[in-house]
Amino acid sequence: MELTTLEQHLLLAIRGLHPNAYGVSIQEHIKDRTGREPSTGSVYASLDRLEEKGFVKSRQGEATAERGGKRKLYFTITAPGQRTLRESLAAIDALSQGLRWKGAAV
Amino acid sequence: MSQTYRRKIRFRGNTGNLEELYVPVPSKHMQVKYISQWSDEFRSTSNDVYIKLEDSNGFSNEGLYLYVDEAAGIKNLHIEVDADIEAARPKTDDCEPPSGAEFLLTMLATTRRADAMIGDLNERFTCEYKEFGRARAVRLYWARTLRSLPPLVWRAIGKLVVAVVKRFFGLSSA
Repeated sequence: MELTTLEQHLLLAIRGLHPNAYGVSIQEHIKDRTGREPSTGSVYASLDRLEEKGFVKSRQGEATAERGGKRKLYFTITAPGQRTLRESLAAIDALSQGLRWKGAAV
Repeated sequence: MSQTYRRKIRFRGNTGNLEELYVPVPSKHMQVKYISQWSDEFRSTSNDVYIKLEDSNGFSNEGLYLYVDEAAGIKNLHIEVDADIEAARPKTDDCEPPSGAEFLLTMLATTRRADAMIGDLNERFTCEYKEFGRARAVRLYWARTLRSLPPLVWRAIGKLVVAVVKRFFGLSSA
C-alpha cells in the first residue's frame, strides 16, 4: 500500500507526538520540521483516509474553553499503519541509496 | 480560571557572546503568570562552566529572560529550569471566533471530525488573538478555513463517487 508524502508526514507526526497527537499539535509538528504547514482540511481529509484504511485510530478527548467547547480528536497509529510507514520509508531509503548529490562533499 | 502546569524548560544552543538568554515557554498556548521555582546554576556541556543568574526575576508573558554573567566563549549550552508555570485561560470577552466556518465545515465532514476541526481553528484563533489582536486573528481564521475547504470538498466527492459506484455495480463490503 502506497502512502502520499502528506500521509507519511502525518503518520510520523502521530508516532512522534504519541499520545498527544491531535489536529493542532500535528500541524505544528509538521511545520516545525518541514517548514510547511498543511491546512486543517487536508490534515483531516488525509486522516479520514488513513483511518478508513485502518492505519490510524481516533478517540475523542477533552473539550476546553479555548476550543469553544469542541472536543479534541486524538490519533494513534495502528500496527498495520506502522508496518506500512516502515515499508514506505524503506522504499525511499532504497531509492536514495548510492545517490551522489551535486556539490556535496565526497 | 487558571491551571498550574509543571514544565521543565530546556534551552539548547550556541550562546556566542550573549549576555541575555531567552527561554520560550514550551507551548505558545500558555501564558506565564508567575514562575515560582527554578535552579540557580547551569552547566555547559563543553567545559563544565557554571553560569550564575544575575537577575532571577526577569520573565515576560511568553517566556523567561535569563540574564547570564560571563557567558562569552561558552558554546553548546544546555539549560534546564524547573518552573511552575501558571497558564492563564484566555479571556472570553471579545475573543469569540467568527461564526460561519462552523456551517461550512459541518457540511463537509462528519460531526465528530467537523467538531474537532472547528475546535482546532478556535484554538489557533485564541492564540493569535492574544498574540496579534482581533483583526489579524480573524483574517488568519478565515484564511485557514478557506484553505481547508478544497481538500474536504475533494474528500466528500470521492466518498460520494465510491458510494454511487458501489450502489450501481452491486459492490458491497458486507
